[in-house]
This record gives sequence, structure tokens and C-alpha cells, in this order.
Amino acid sequence: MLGWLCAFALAPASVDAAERAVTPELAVQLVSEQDALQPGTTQSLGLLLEHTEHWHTYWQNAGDSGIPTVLEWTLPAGLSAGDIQWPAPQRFELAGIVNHGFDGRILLPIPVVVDATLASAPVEIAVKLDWLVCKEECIPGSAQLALKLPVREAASADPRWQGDFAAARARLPVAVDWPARFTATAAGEFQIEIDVPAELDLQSPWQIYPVLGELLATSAPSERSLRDGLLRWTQAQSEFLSATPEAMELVLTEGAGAPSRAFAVRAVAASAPSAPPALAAATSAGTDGEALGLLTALLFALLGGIILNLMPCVFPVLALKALALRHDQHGRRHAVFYTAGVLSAFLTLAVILLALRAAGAALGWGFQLQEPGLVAALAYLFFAMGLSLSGLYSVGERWMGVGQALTEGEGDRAAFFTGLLAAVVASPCTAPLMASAIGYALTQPAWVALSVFAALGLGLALPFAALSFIPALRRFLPRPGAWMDTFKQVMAFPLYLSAVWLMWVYGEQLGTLAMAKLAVGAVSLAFVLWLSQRIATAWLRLALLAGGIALCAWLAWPTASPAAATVSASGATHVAYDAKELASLRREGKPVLVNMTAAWCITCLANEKVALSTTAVQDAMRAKGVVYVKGDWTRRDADITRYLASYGRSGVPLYVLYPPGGDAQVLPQLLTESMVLDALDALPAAAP
Amino acid sequence: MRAIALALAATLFSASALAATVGQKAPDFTAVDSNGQSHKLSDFAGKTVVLEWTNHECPFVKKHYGAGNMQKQQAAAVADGVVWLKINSGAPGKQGHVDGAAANAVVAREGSKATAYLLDHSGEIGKAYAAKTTPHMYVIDGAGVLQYNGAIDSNPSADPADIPGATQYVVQALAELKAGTPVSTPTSKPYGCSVKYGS
Repeated sequence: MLGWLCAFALAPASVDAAERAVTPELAVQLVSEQDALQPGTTQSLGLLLEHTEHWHTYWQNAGDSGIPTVLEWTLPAGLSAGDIQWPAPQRFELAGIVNHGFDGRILLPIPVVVDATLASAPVEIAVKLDWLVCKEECIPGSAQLALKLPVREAASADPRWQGDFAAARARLPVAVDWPARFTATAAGEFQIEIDVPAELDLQSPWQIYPVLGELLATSAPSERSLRDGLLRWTQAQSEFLSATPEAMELVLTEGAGAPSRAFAVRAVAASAPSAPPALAAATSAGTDGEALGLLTALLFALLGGIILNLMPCVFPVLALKALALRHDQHGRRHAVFYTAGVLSAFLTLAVILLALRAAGAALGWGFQLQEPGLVAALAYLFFAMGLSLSGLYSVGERWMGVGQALTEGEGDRAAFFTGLLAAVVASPCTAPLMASAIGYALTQPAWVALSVFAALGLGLALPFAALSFIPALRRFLPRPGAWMDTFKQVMAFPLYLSAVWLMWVYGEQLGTLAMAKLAVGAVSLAFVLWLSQRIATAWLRLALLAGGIALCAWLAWPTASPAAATVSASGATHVAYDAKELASLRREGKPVLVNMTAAWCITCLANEKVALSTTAVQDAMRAKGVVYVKGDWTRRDADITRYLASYGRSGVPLYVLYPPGGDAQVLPQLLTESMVLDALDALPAAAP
Repeated sequence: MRAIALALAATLFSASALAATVGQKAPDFTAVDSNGQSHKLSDFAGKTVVLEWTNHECPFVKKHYGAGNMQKQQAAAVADGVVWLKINSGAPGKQGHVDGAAANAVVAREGSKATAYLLDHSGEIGKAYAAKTTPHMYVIDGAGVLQYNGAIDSNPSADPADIPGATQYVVQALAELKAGTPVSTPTSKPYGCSVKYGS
């Protein structure tokens, strides 16, 4: 038993105290910067570590696994040793486990105070050290080292170790007093902000290491930005964090591999979270703070809602309603009901989404368009509305079969349902344009998310409500006349275009066959609506309509298994996103650009068009050997949702550039060609 | 129409598993053990379950098996009605990877008293729990809630001589759960070799 015990663990380092101990993985040596001890001074000892290629030992915060090197001194009276002055570490990543440490040749300096009364006889300094050295497998080691030094009134530098001490000092983090703070986000992350001096010119890749291991989840991806002197780093909290500290000691490094520069920064706990990343651009002019962040978010949502009125899905409907207002005697009352309708629709949608997310469903905003059935229903709805405006069928002034009884007439109920309908027809337009902003809202507490949705609804309702409330405004409305008929017919075309867009999304989701069926369904719908105009008997007409709707539903019923359709039919060659594939690409040290996109996301498509698929960018990617990975979120995809969540997002687009061996860099949601080229330029040249 | 479709969609969406967090439901899993038998975590409802990530070639695992510490804890726990699952997430070709026969040989050599030795070659369970080191320990109560996530003890070293002076976190958590008191150390930073995942 005892023999077994002795056999297994400790590396066969020398038992006799010597200056140097050697194992196949690591050589360790105790050295002194000066050739003698000089009483009354503080000088430096050093632990020289020489790692065999591919092996590493650990920094004071070792990361996910590993153990820092530990020293235990045996010193004569008159000498006292301090803690190791840790040089800045580098990252080692293997199969998703991330560590911080050192490889190659490195010296760990240790200050030693030499008492003025130290006698002049030579002294022996002894240290027992324990280390863990790892490549893929790990081997703990231990050694007793000793160093004999003379004591003299004057000492000079020992030339043998000068280079090692100089290299170690160059790698020691420089203590700086840059203002720095951190906040715990609702999503379980720490967001660290450092005000770095403008003249710093920190080069990518840079990295933040907390000195304590139980603060940040080492292997979790980090979101980082450095703009206008504000460095921001967001990363999940460590699952082993017991309490949020008052302050964090951080090391900021520059450069891949062994850092070229390093700074020691102390970040203090900020009382309120600062502006969220999604709205950083909007708030950068103001000061940080939760109230303002929320206020800005609300303002932008309100503005977004107003803009929605101009969307091709909404404008035709509301424009006609607004024209009808000229003669409305109960304007204000109806405006209130209309606004209530809009708000109910938006809040209901938000509550459903929040509830589904709370139940663990991997959803983000835009989720409604990930359901092909809903896309089909909306396509039919827009098409039918368009047909009505074109005059294919008209039921008095009614423009929609199902909603006619509810939305027409003078009643409060009609106003309420008009609002509801406006929100419903507006919703497909919110997904492509506002997915990212709403995505931010969803990462906030429920009441914040609901307020943002409410503001969006309020914005949508505002122009119409304003017309109702302020009779003076109505005077600006054009007089009714024959032109209104023409206007109505013109308004049909944006609706047709909306329907075509939705059909295309549907085709991306289920393939061209399904899209063709949907198109047949649309034609059938047109036929049934047309035919119903020619039947006088009410019940027969109703039966026909019911049959037509059933036929349309049957045609649009998503029977086909999800096609392997990808978003990009054009342009850049790419590989489909796969978490394992991404990990293995990164392990191989290949630079990777990840693009998370969806067919219904207009921003995504615009970015691809103007920035990602251009010849210049494609050439640059080829030159740097970048692997272009695309994740298609057109349909629900829990893997992609998880990936988005790991970057604090709940919607697309998301662009992440992984330099070889370095840390992920998140690119902005609105890309320009030069922005992408700059990011690619910063990558090292492709390996031959 | 829209509301109906949404409600319908709500019932169709499957809930995705979240990473293991103390105080929350531990991710469920099904795994095959060294004898080819299938085990499902949720089948152990009502019983306390200990998960132990292992790699018999890792010096830190050897530390606790060599000194008999792990076997002693397993025997005491199992005698108390606790289910103790050893899990190996080492991918094929990596250090400590075992097939069923090799796993049984390790169990025999170590004198392991664990309920079962589960093989997680794909690393799926390891990733679901974010298991980082060997050993890395988890304690799940009878209601399926994770109560402890962290190191085997309070002394991160490879030296068996450090075991007697260390707080044995799993022993402590099991005793506290049995007594119905809150677990005093629900998390600690695990130490050891990295789990040898395939990707």
C-alpha cells in the first residue's frame, strides 16, 4: 500500500537539495539576481522554469483546471521572502477547457528582504516547491531546491540570469490607476469597464485575467469592445462565485501567446449597470446608468414604433383608416381604444415570449417568424388584404373577411380591434428591423422588457392617436374624393410585396415545393374570394369561404421536413454552424468568422450584401485563411440560440471573429466593408 | 388565429437543458454503465445522487483513490442509500478513456464502491454539467436539485498527505442534506486534471 502510494504521484525530482531539478517535462532552478546578499536591501530571487515543448505550468489563477506553483521557504534568520511576482500569463485552451499559465522559459521573481544585521557568513536558502505541469495530461511535481549565497557589503548582478530577470520584469503587469468598475448583469455575467488612456493604443488581441479564480467563468466566451477609451469586457460569472466582491484585481494583457504588455487594474463594484451593449451606440454620448439606459431604450422603442407606421405591412391599412377619420365624431374615445388594442397585442406577445423563455424554450425575438405556419398565415393575410384593396372583392368598405365585423363601424370595439390588427400586421416587420434591440430588452428583467414592448406599441399607435386627439391635425388630411380609390389601389402593391417576402421566408424554411404549394394556396384564396362575390346566398358564401380557408390551411400545412435550405443562395462559400466543428477549427488554430443570420432578418441580409459578400472581403478572408461559418436561424435552432445567448444576445445578427489562438471579437451589428476588412487585417497572415 | 397558433406553438416547443446551477434542477441524462446497463438520473428521484468525474490516470484522482479517501466516501454514502455515479467523459484516444471492460478493471483495482461507472465518451453529460476537472463532484438531492458543485475537498494539491487536514466537501454536503440543514459550502472551485473532452 505504502509502496503504491509512493510510486504514483510525485515526479522523480532530486531529493537532495540542489540548485536545479530536472524532470522530462520541466526543469526548475533557484537563482539570485545578485551574486551576493547585501544586508539592508531588498533584492530578488528567481524561480527559473524551463518547460519542455508543449508543456505548461500555471499562473496564480490557473483557470478551469490546473494548480499554481507553490513555494515553501526555509530561510535563515535575517532573510524574509515575499510572494511570487507573477508575470502576466497566457491562455491555453484544449477541448473547451481554458487555463492560464506559462510555457517555454520563464522566471518567477520573488522579492527577498535582507536584514541589515545579517552576518557575513554564507547562507543557504532552501525552498520546497510543488507544481503541476500539463500538456494534455498532467503531472504533479515537487522539488527541494537550495542556493548558497555569500553575504557582502556590495553585490553585483549575476550575468547568467540578467536576461531572465529582465524578461520577467517586462512581463510583470504595470500597476495603473485607470478608473475601472464592474457590474453583475441580470444574465449572470460580469461586465467590466476600464477607462483606458487615449494614447494607450492597445492592440488586438487583448485579454483580461482576474487574479482570483472564482470570479469569471474562464472558458465562457467573452464579449469585448474598445472604443473611445472605454474598454468593455463581458463574461459569465464563475459558477463557483460565492458572493460578488467589492473589487476585482485584473490583469489586462496585449498580444496573442506571451503578452507584449500587461497592466494591473483594480475594478470596483459599480452601483448600477451601465448602458447595455446593444444600445451602446445610442447612449455613448450620455453618462452611464440604469435609468438612462432604460430611458434610451424606451425612447428608441417609441421611435421604432412610429417608424413601423411607414412599413409596407402597416401603412396601407392605417393610411386608409386615417383618411376615414375626417368625419369621426368620437375620435378621442376611439383613439384610446385603438391604442389599447395595439398595446394588448404587443404585451400579449411579449408575455407569451417571456413565459416560453422562462419555461426554458430556446427562443429569441423573431421567434414568431420561425414558425412556418404563422409565416404562411401572415402571407395569406397580406395577400387577401391586397386583393381587397385591388378591388377583387369588396364588402362595402371592408377590407378583410375575418376581421370585418370587428374592425368596421363606429364602435369602441371596432377601434380596439383595429389596433389589435395593426399590431398583428406590424409584427412581421418588427422582427427584421428590431430583433437586436428587442433582443436586448429580453435579457433585462421582465418589467424592463415589458416596458420596452409597451413603448414600441405606443409608438405604433401614436400617429393615429395624434390624428384622433387633435382635430386641427385632421385638417391637413386631404379631402376625400375619387383619388382615394386610386390611392387605395396603389396601396395594394406594398401588401403584395410583403406577401411575396413572407412566401420567400417560408420557402427558405421548407423548400421550394412548399413555397409552390403556398402560392397555389394564395391563388385558391383569390379564386374563392372572387367567387364569393358572385354568390348571393349568405350561408353558401360562408361555406365557400370556410372551404377556401380550409384548403389554404391544408396547402400551407408544413408537411415537408425542414429543408436543408440555407440563407445564402449567393456569394460567399461557407460552412454551416456546428458547435463541435467550431471548437475543432479553433483548436486547429484556424481563424474563424461566425455569421449568425436569418432569412427574415433584413439587417443580416444587408450586412451580407454590403460587407461580407464583397469581393474585397472575400479576398481578404481567403488571404488570411479564414473559415467562414454561417449559422441559419431562419428556423428554430436551439444550438444557435445557445450560441447567441453565450454572447448575451437573443436575436440575430451576430458576427464573431476568432483570431487563431486568440479571443473572440464581436463585430458590430451594422457592418461596413472597411470595418470587416480592418478586423481581418488585424489577423496574422495565413500559415503557408 | 395568431393567439391560437402561438398557444399551439407553446406546447410544441421543447424546453432545452440549462447548465448545472446549484439550487436548480440538475440536468437529466441517460447513460450506459461499464456493464452495458442504462441509467437515467430522473429514475433515482427520491434518492440523493453523487456524481464523480473521474480519470484513473489523473494524479489527482490517484491521490484520492491511492489514499483510500474516495472509496471510503463511496462506501459510507452507498450504505446510507445514496446513489454514487462515477462518470468518465474522456474521449477515445485521450488519457483515461475506458471501455466497459477497462472500466470494470479500474473499479476492481481501485476497490471503488460506486453504484455504477458511467461512460460518457461523447462528453455530452460532462458538458451539460460543465465538468472541468477530475475529480469534479456534484451532489443532487432527492428532488433532483443540485446541492453541491465543486472540488472533492478544500486542499488543492496532488499530495495524499494533504487529505487528512482538508474539509471533505461531499461528506459534509451529504451529512447536511441528511440532517435537513442547508449545505454550508454549496460551491467550491474544483481542482485536478482537465476533463479530456474530445471537442
